[in-house]
Amino acid sequence: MNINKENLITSKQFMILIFSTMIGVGIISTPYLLVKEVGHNAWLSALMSGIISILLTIIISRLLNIHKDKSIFGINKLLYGKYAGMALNSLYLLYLILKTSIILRLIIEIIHIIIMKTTPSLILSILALICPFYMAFYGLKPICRFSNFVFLILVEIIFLYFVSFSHIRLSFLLPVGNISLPSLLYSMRSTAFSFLGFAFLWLVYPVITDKKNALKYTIWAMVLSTLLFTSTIVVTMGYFGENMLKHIIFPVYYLALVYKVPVFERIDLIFLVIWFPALSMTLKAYFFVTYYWLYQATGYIFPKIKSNANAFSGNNKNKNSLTGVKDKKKKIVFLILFSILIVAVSRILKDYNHVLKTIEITDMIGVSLISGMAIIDLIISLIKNAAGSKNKFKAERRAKK
Amino acid sequence: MMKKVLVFILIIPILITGCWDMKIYERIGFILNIGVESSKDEGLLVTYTSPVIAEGKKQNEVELIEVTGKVLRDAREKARRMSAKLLEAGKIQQLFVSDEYAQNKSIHQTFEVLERDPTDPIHCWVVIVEGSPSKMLKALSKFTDKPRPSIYMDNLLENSSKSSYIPDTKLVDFDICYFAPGIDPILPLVKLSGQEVIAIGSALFSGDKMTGKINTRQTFLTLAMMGKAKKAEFASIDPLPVKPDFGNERDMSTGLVPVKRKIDVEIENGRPVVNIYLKFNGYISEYKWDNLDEATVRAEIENYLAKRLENDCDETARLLQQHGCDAIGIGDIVRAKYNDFWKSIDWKDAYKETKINVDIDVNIKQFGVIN
Repeated sequence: MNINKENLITSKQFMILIFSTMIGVGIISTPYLLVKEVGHNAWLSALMSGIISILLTIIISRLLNIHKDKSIFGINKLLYGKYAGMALNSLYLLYLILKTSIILRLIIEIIHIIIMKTTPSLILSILALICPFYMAFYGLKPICRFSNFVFLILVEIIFLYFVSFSHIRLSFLLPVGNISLPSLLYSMRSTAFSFLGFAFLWLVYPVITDKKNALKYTIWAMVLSTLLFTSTIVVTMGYFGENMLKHIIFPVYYLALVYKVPVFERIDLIFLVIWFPALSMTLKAYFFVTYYWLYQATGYIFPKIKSNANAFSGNNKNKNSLTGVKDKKKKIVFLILFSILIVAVSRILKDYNHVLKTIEITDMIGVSLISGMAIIDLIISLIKNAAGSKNKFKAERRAKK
Repeated sequence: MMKKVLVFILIIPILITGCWDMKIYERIGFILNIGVESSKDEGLLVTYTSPVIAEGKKQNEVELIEVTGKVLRDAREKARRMSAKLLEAGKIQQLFVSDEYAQNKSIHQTFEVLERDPTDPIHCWVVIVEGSPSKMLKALSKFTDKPRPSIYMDNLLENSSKSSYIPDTKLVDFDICYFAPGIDPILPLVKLSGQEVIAIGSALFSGDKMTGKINTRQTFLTLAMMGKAKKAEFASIDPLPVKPDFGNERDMSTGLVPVKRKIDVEIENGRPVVNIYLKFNGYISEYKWDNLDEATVRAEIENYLAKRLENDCDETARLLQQHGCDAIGIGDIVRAKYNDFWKSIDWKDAYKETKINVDIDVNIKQFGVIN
């Protein structure tokens, strides 16, 4: 299988991609949603979400190991047949388009609330999409490289938590566990916006070069994200307390607002300068994978661009096709159309509250769709595998006789 | 074609950046202080100070604007109509509130606008003024031997809080205590006296209403019981003038640094019983010549100081209870440790019935270069 070099990534790069995607937008908005739901037990919910996500990652990895070099779209077609598979894939693509649009709108609303109150959303949307557009044109590898920026943000967060440490009241986190299990499980849907990042594994699996390490590094990304989410909730909860935190829509940013240092005075401004690229990391990753698979899908639907789609995925025999002027033009046109689609869908949402409500719905869909596909696909694959082995064994026995 | 598209895309941000949310530094008047008190028509009397930066003006000159309004934003809009510059609140250093206003109105609601708008600082001081903040700011703006009011007050408050004369309570700290069930806020208390502003202790709050005052020594002991006097780096009490009866009466000054706090809450017969243990390191800074190198003399002083501090702490705790101000956060511990009990009571009532025992140890660590 020929795969364009621009899209080839290592497992380590993939780990950073997932990690940055999960924490980019998620860490700034998820704690508020969780605390509103389960109060001071929010950290338990984050921890449990992380554990369940890791279990689902293992299921996905097992599924991908059975179907070597295939993504979820290929697996669905193989398992359910052409039409049912395409229907399921379309549903998943629709979800990805919706999620990318919501992420874009969420970023715009965050910018609106924090710094640019009067700049029109449309202008901010165009500005926010310039970088994802540019990077998507050059492939997944530059996006993964850009994701290394996450380490700068990690330093910033660790510094912020470190200076907050002496102000934390552990009593704000107590009493632990005074919540019913169903409520705790139900609250986990609020983390889905971030924790569904593990599903990137079956979207980019074909382009990972060292597939044997993919599971290990994906789990590392999940563990790191879980720790960061949990510690974020512990620190912000221990600092502000449950009742106040329920009113703060961006707790991590609010924590940065609390401190002042000599010369700079307000460190929230420095925090923002570093944080905005982090916000766009989530957008870049979702923008790319959605565009990538939509491009592939349209290749099947519209044969005229099929060759181009194959070139993108690496199925084209002409290795240099991606650098061909004709292909580049098609790619740019497709990227522009895709960007217009994402902006148009994001415009349906009215404001931040509308975004949060829509996230609740899409996350319910996302959780059902992703966990359902992972579990059912694995069961069918295992059954088919077992049946295949049995037939092979019978055939071998017949041949011996 | 591709290059043209990319160039076009890259030009867009240059063309449109800053069109809508542009703020020109030179045209902004930075509000540094806000004074709030009740106006005659039951609204707010708000006083703003903003630095005057122009040729021929002194460095510490400030523009002082006094307006009335129903809410803070209303007052700011009126002030904007009086100022040559566009007044912005992003650099507020202190919020001064009159004690009368704090006793009758909700500070938490009054300053809500500063918490809602992220361009406003939430780490500014909230200070209760005995008397009128407007008068104080007017006097401060006329002081010729002091820096600009905001700088002078910032230095005064920082130094006083480092010495635990006043609590280090910023706007966000006030709200954290206000929102936390079982904790009440305390705020710095100052007053204008002639040509000086003096830090005189703390204003006690029950919820968001001011209910009482304590002096600087009681503030230090309250902070010690809260576990927050640790912030004080050195001698953190106004000198303790004790007269130990060692045959030679002499006033003594001791620097005290709290090094350990342990707080234990139990429920006995449906009533919370609190045991607070405090350990101080003492540094004798002024006493009499002779004897301090002897362990027995030091032990006597330590016992004397411990007893005296215990009595002062008891009195301070009683004052806090009388005013319904749970600054120590006993209710928060009860909520965390005895959640069922917490749910079964009204903490405001239970707090007044709570038994608070304070046990103190003092350890004289140093006595200078003479014995």
